[in-house]
Amino acid sequence: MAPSICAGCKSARAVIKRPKNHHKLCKACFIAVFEDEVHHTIVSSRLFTRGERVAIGASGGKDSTVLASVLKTLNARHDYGVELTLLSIDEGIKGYRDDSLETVKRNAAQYDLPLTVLGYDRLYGWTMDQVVDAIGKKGNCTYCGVFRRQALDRGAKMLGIKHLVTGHNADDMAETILMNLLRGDLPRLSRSTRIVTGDDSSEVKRSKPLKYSYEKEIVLYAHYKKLDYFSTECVYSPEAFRGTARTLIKNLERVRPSAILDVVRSGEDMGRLVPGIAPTGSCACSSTDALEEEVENSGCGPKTGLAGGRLAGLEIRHKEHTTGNGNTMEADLTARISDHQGTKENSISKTATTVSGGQKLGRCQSCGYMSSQTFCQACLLVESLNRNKRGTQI
Amino acid sequence: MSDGELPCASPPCRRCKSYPATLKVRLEPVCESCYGQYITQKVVKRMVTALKEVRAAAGIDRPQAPPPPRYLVALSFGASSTGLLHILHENLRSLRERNPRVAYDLTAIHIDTDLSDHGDAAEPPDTPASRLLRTYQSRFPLASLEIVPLTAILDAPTMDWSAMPPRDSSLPPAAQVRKLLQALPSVTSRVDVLRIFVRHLLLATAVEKNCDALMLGSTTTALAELTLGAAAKGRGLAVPWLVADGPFPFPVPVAAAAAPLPSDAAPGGVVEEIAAAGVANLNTGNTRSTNNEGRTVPVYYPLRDVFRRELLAYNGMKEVALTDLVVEGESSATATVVSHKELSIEAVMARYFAEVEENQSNVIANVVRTTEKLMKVRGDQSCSVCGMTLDEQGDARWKGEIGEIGENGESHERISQETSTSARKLCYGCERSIRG
Repeated sequence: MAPSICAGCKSARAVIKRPKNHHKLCKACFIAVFEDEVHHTIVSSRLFTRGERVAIGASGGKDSTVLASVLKTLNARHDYGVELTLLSIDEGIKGYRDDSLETVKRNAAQYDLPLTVLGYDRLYGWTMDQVVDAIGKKGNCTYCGVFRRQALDRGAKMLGIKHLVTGHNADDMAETILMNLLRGDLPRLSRSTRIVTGDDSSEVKRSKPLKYSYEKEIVLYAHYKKLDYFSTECVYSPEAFRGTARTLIKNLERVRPSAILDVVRSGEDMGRLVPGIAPTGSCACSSTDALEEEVENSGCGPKTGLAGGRLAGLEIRHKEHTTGNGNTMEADLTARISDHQGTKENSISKTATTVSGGQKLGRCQSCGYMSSQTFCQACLLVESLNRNKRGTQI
Repeated sequence: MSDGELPCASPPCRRCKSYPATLKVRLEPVCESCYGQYITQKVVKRMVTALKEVRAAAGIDRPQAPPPPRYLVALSFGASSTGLLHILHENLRSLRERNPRVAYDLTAIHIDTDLSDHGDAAEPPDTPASRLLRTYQSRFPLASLEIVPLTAILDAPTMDWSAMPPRDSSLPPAAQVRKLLQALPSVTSRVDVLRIFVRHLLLATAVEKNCDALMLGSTTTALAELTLGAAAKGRGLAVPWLVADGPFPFPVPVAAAAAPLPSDAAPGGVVEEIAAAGVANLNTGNTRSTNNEGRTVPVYYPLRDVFRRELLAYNGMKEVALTDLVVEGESSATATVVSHKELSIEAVMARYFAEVEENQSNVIANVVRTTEKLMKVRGDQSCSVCGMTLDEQGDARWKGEIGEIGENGESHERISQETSTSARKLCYGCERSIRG
């Protein structure tokens, strides 16, 4: 059989069958196509503005390493005019994070980007190793995830940066979508599918430029560009539930490679179908009910504000759920939500404090981080850790 | 359940306290009779809702005896649809005896997907399906059972062939459909398009027979599979239409949309106006006015609260004894995987949920209850193959954000130009299945 010719340049020998669509490409064309696609996502989503300072959440793993490399390349090639910097969080996991941080330090030198490392111990008074000692291996990922999300935000704030990019890829997106479907978490489904989360009202906006890039292609890109990355799994086993969704995604990809992107597309579309205000688990209305009284509400739809004009014509009618806060734990929150609904019924114009899914965005009374509750999750977790610690000391 | 092996007799049923408990409702040991009631009640509850909605749609609120509604059951000869037919048949028997006012007419239809050439003979031959149908007919005398061959799709009034690959009309019908399916890019595509064909025929039959609703035998487990399967095929926008009970868009080809409707599909009958369902319009924000494109057929899933294993237990009960009747193709959920290329997305989902049902059945119920809450939206145009709404702005945005570059290096702009100039409109999911 004659060797295949690259479908891109039509001259070189194809060495790669793209995982995404099975196109046969040569190495140079693959790298070009991969970068072009990320560039396209950045341009069409208007992700960056000239002069903006952007922090790359860097773990030393393949995704963030590729993200740093691609952004550095594209920023130079297409003159985005953004100022890039690396931001790493040290969870304090021996045998995992200390090694991967070394990788990040090398990356910083290789790409000539400034690097800031911020530790959990400094932020919360607890390293992950200490957390695991206190609560065991089960469920510690919850702590780590909550802590890290905030840690990156706090780090960005410390650096005076308002835009944080993370290396979430298409596989991660698809996995999150399936997981939220399996959990029945519609508000989160609609929030998580957006490329930019956190709007003008929150201090740090986050985006995922690799949201449409296949994990396999990221690995290939890293391989062909000979990127220096760290590939050991976290020593504390990955979350079991995420595990099954991950396996499902991988099986789907094997059956039909486009399935990952198809799930992402479905997730975005389904995100637009989530009824206006539905605090998790407390919506008791039927679907026909949900369509009876409708209020036009462009402020709540996922993806608004990201593609701007492109979506301007797309209006999905939302139903205001005037009832159904029965299960909400805190009376305070209930009051705030119904108050919020009242506001919206009177004036449909966007309120700056609305996040998609209808929760009201406030500030944690302890640390000031954005939260829909009185205290943010991280503060609650730290508080419970400290309480238990005091308990054992007595 | 192998009770004989137990050292002592089964404990008495926790509900009736008289018969031995051989089955379980959640953790409660019950006898077969009580188990049957438990399953039947779940179905009857759904049928009561269906009856109310069907009568409301037909504008029947007069106290005097209304004509009995006509229900069409889709019968694949599989466990779920056979179980559903049995439950409805038993229900109908007792209604006719005790409460004829709320009885209904029951028709079951089997879409015969056998595409071997004998289907082309002028005389309807003695196919496996027709033999099976006779067995079923003798088991379910109160229902009228019929077969529609898959080849009927070639003449289905609902099909718009303009977006499909060209057919060789010199071939016999079965060969035409066979070639068409074989030419699709993957196993998933074939299963997907086959499902769409079957749904077309079911909807068309419901309209043709002037039925008030189409009853599908999907269990909770099957609906969860359907939800995630549709998501994995890029059919997210269609999920609430596919999973929730209620009106389903009746596909009308572009050519026929302008023509007047056949009289048996007049408004107020089987086909109700979309506006009655209060469905939001995707593009204009207005509910639709009278228009052929907005027609719907009520579709119900009476088994939506029954897990697959619960239904299998029901089918296996001595009084019901359906297990021998049911034809189960090689169970996709248990067969060993030889090659992933030969699997469909449906098969992957079936495997996944078979495992989930064992350990975390609450997850399954959760999926279904959650997706029911999604809003049904409709745009001005429907996909010419599946009849679901088109989302052109979404497609344009998607192509823009991804910046997909074609195999021959052409840019996305060109691709989107090509698709927008062609008159053949496909939704994202159908585009994927038909063109790869």
